[in-house]
Parts: sequence; C-alpha cells; structure tokens
Amino acid sequence: MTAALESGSSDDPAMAFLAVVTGPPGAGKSTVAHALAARFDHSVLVPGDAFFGFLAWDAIVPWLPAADSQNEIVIRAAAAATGRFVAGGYATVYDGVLGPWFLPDFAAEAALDHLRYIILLPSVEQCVDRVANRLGHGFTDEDATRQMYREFARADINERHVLADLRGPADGTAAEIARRIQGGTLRYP
Amino acid sequence: MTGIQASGKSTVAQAVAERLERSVHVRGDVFRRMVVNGRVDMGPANPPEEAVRQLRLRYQIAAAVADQYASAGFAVVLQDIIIGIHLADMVSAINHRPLYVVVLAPSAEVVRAREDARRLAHGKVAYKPGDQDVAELDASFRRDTPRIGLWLDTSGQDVGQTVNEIIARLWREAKVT
Repeated sequence: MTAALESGSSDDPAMAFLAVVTGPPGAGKSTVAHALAARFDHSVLVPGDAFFGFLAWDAIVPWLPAADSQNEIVIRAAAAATGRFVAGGYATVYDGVLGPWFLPDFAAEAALDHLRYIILLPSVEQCVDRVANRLGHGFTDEDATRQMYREFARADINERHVLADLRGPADGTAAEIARRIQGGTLRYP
Repeated sequence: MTGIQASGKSTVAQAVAERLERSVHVRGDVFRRMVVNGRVDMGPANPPEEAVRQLRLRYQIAAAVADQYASAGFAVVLQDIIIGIHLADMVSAINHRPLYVVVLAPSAEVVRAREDARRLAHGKVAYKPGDQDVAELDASFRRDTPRIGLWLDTSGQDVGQTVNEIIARLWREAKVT
C-alpha cells in the first residue's frame, strides 16, 4: 500500500474512484467492502440494500424474476447516489449484487467513464453455509443463493475481476483488492 | 418533508409513504452515514466548512435518488433536516415536478418532550452536548427557513392525525414550483 493510494483526499478529486464489490449472497461482500472503504482517508460505503430499504410499498422480493424492472429502478437510484459521492471526491465502495450485465448502465447512471469491479466468488458451499448461519440478515434463501451463484459463475467477465480465494481475514482480502485497484487490473471497462 | 431533529419526520414520512401506492421513503440521513472515513457532522452553531460541504453533497444525493424513483413512477417521500437557505437549494436540486414541501413544526416544548421520551425509551439522543439546544434551534429554524410549502404545527397531534392532515391538504397547499 503506497501513501498515494491511502491519501484519497476530498481536496483531490483525482483520488476519487468507485469500486463495486459484488458477488452472490454469502460471498462476504459487506465485510470486505467495509474493510476496503476503511483503508482510505475520505471514503464512503454505499450499501445497495439501502435503496431497496426505501421501498415503502409494493416491494417485490428482489431475487424473483418479477422484480426485474423494480431492481433496475432501485439500482439506477443507487448508481445516481454512488456517482455523486465519487464526484464529491470520495473513495467510494459499492456493496451489492451487481452482475456484469448491469455494469454499463450503472456506470452511465453514475456518470463515470470507468469503475473498479470485483466479484467475490468463494465456493458455492461456503456461500450457502454463510447465508444459512448468519444472524440479523433478512436473506436466508438457499435456492436463490445457488441461482445467483450460478449467474455470477457463468457471467461474461474477464477473470481478473474475480477473487475466489477468500479464506483469509477480510482485511487481507481488502488489502489485496486495494493493491489491484492501484495496479489497474480491476478497471472496467 | 423537513423539520428539526425529533420533530417526527421519520415516523410521519414512513406513515405517509405507506398511505400512498407504489411509494418510496428516502431518508436523507442514510447518505450521511455512508461516509466511513472523513465524516464531519453538523452540530455546533458554527459548523466547519467541511461539514457544510458534506451536508450539501448529502442533499444533492438525496435529490438525485428521489428524482430517479419519481421518474420511474414512484411516489417519493424525501425526508431530512433541511432548514434555512438549504430548503430553497433542495427545491432547486430536485428536478421532478410536481413537488410538495411539508414542514413539520411542532413547538419547541413538544420537541423537547419527545426527545426526553426517546432518550428514556431507546437511549436515542438527537441533541448532543455542544449542539444548539432545542429552543435555540427551533428559533433559528423558524427565522431562517423560507415560508414555502405546507407548515404544520403538529404539537397536539398523534401520527395518524398528522398523516391525515398532510394527505388532506398536500395537493392544494404544499405545492412548490
């Protein structure tokens, strides 16, 4: 980690960036995303779930096919907010389910030419196990977890965006992601 | 929907949103809490420049998010502490029209009583030592906030009554251009 990377300052918009940390449920997104954001001086963690939380009425469970258009609306709103944090000079980490098929729209709505994209993809059993055993989280659907896992595993995306070895502590994973951000290998497009 | 801390915004906004179809409740405070490192909050009577910059950014983000949901056909209730000149700024930051402004303005005594009850029940404290006290904040809020939209003295009301009054008067009396 160099000083330049750690000094993401609000006075220097050039240091601002967006890193999307995604993956299926149970991949460890939230923990890693928080550890990643915490590495920078001026940083923001945007939890994608917050935008689903705004829905007061008529919300469809987001992993059902019928929720596609609702998901699109919610993700566009999330992208608009996320882009403004980046424009405001923050090292911005987005934590949420965001398949590569949605990246062009997300980047456009965020008004960004490019972003950093990382898919956390441990084994499917690790994901299922974590979803089944975590506390204080609304999502516990094993079939939906496996379905979303398959979608990420099959996604058309260069493997440099995929991090599969997640056995170490989240801080170590975050440090590895920060190194890759700096090295430019997570850049999309 | 705006008002000072503990004026009832969050509860009333959620209840209004639930009365509308296909609705969204955007809580502006969420965007403040998204800042992990480098956060500077408002609070003291003379906040640092960085706190004001972050407040403005939060308002711009809330406005953009509200616009996104509104343009997709949702009824949006955007709720935050937006006082003084910031209220006019927020009205300009929101592109969607029609736009309605509701200002919850219970008396300072009622706000203080609610704050005390909240502290006893949940340990939740809106007014920390060093902040302006309720009376002072209420006075500057009434003095500096432009008189736009529907101002409601909700002092004698419960949540249901406030929601009913808002729904009844919103369309004719709260519209801003």
